[in-house]
Amino acid sequence: MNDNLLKVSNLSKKFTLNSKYVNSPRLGDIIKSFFGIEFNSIRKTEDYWALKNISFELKRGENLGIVGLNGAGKSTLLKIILNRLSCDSGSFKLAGDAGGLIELGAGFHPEQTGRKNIYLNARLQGISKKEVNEKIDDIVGFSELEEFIDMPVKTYSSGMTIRLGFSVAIHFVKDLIICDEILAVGDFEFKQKCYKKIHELKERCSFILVSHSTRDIALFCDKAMFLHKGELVQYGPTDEVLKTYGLVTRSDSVSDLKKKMMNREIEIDLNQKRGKHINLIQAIQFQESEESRVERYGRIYEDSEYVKDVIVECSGKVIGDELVIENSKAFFLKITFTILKSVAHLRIGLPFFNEMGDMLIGPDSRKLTLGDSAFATRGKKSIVVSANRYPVNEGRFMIVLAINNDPGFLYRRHLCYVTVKNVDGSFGQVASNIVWKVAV
Amino acid sequence: MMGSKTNLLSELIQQSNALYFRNYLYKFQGMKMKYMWHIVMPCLPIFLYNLLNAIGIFGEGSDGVPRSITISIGIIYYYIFSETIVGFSAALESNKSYIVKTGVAFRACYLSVLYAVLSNFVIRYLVFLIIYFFYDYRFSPNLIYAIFYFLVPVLVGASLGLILSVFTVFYRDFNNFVQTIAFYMLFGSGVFGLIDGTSTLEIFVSNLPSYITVANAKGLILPEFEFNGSNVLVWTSISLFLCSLSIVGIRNSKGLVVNYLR
Repeated sequence: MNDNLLKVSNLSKKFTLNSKYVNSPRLGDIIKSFFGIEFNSIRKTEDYWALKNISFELKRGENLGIVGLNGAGKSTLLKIILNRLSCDSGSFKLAGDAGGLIELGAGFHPEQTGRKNIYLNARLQGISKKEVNEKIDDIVGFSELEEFIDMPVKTYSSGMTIRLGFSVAIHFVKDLIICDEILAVGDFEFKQKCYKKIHELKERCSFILVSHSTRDIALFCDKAMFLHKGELVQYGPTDEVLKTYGLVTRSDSVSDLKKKMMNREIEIDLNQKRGKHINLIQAIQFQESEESRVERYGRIYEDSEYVKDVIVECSGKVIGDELVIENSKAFFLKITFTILKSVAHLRIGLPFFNEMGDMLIGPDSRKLTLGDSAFATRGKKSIVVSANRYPVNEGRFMIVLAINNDPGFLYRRHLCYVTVKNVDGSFGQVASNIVWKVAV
Repeated sequence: MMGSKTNLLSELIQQSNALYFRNYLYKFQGMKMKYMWHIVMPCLPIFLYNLLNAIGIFGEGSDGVPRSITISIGIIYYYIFSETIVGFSAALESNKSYIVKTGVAFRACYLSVLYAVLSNFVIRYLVFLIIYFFYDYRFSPNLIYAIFYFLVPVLVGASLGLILSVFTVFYRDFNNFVQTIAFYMLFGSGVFGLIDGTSTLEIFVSNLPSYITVANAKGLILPEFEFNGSNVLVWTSISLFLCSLSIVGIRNSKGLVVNYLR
């Protein structure tokens, strides 16, 4: 099987800014185009290049994230790949079928029930009734709309509509699914579920996600593309691209951005030479608001029916907002909480995020299989997390505490920022547990 | 992209079905009579003009055939022509959201119109058969041929509708013109009586494809009327040529159309 799923070469697309031309193209031009005759409109038009010479390749099984400010050309690119728009120059080759969710509720009939709309939507994608019959239960199940599936779609909220649309798409598209910012409408839990599904489907299909959430892109995309004013600024590993994306402002031209990228690299290089080891990520400053925290480290959540009185202690003291720690010191946290209802699949996670929102390590209690034990029943519980040295070497990190009833969350909190000082000269951000021995 | 021709065909059929369901079958959703409207609406012109005939508006025919039968035949075949031309000319414009948002093929838009025209034809034809046998007419094989004759007005309507569909995208006014002309042409298409005058206007009207289609439909079903096969053949050939030309033209202007629809 060919590994290349999508190959885009020098793709360009221009739009005209002249509203007169947009509203009424000349009759002569339409006639010429009908007979396949090239025409050059005499009417003066101002062209706007929505995409300029975009080239990239996507391999089967890879997930691509596209970032960029509004008007960068992200949606135009997706529409061209989905054959909903023609390009002015360049070409693309897709070795498979592609389906997309580029607009909320596209193709749904508001008067019809969710169930009938599943059939309708599938048919619009060219899928037979027989195939839908085989998968209808899975589709309804995934969308979590069992109760409302026989209600008209006009009664659905935007989140419900998108759940239905996403569910139909992932059950039928075989090779490439394109999502244009639509998952932003879904709630936190559904988003988690979608991304879990995306991960599961990685074997058989690829995803292209357009999102303003750098966290989503960082977590689920192998590669990323940064578009700015129709031009491809950077295409490559997700973390590298997101770092560049953090530098952009609307007034920047592409050349400004490239200068910034170059300056940043020089600065980092200089700092490294000075022995400061300033991390690439630290070079980007974030505004610390509640929103930006949620954006980077995920939502805060508490299901008070299951869990209450969560206390986290570090060295016998309740943990504060900020900790400063040396990397060679032992790591010790005690988590105490009260379970109000028995939990079938209890799991506790303690992921470390860098300031970009990238999860560096994600330790969890999976090995303890808490859900099967008496630990997961009602009552006050305590659990201790420890390591003989800090799991990260240097930098500022956010520790998040998550108490899960898999796959959903019961409790999720941004615990605290930890600034780790590298006192023993370890290399890299994450501490290695590799043991070295001289072979005999 | 589904690859094989069988898959492409099946995809086309599924998409056409979806548009047919959306634009036609679900059209009356939310109304009390729901699907009943799909029977009432196509039959309405037949009932209405038969009612006018019953109160003597059209007078007695000189051909010895009950007026009710000739009017019904005329309405059935004229409406195939008019529904095809109106439906085809609006096919791209009215389905633009599906073309742009869900990637529906142009072909599927036209095919869904054909489904709707065919459904209306079936309902009207059944009503016609009731009227036909009510007047003690016997079964003749021509009633079967008349079913296949459905293709002639479809071809004639499609040949013009396909060309107009491209222009309607840019000039939506076209659709209003087409609808208005299609409505008033009913009275000059031989539905209520054939033209036997020799004035320039009468000769012009009697050579229009809509008139020829209707007049020959009467000739095909009723022995009292003349069936001019060569006329039908000429217009079918012209229509086929125009359809082929339109298909190429639509393919040529697809980029312009899609960009404008976005």
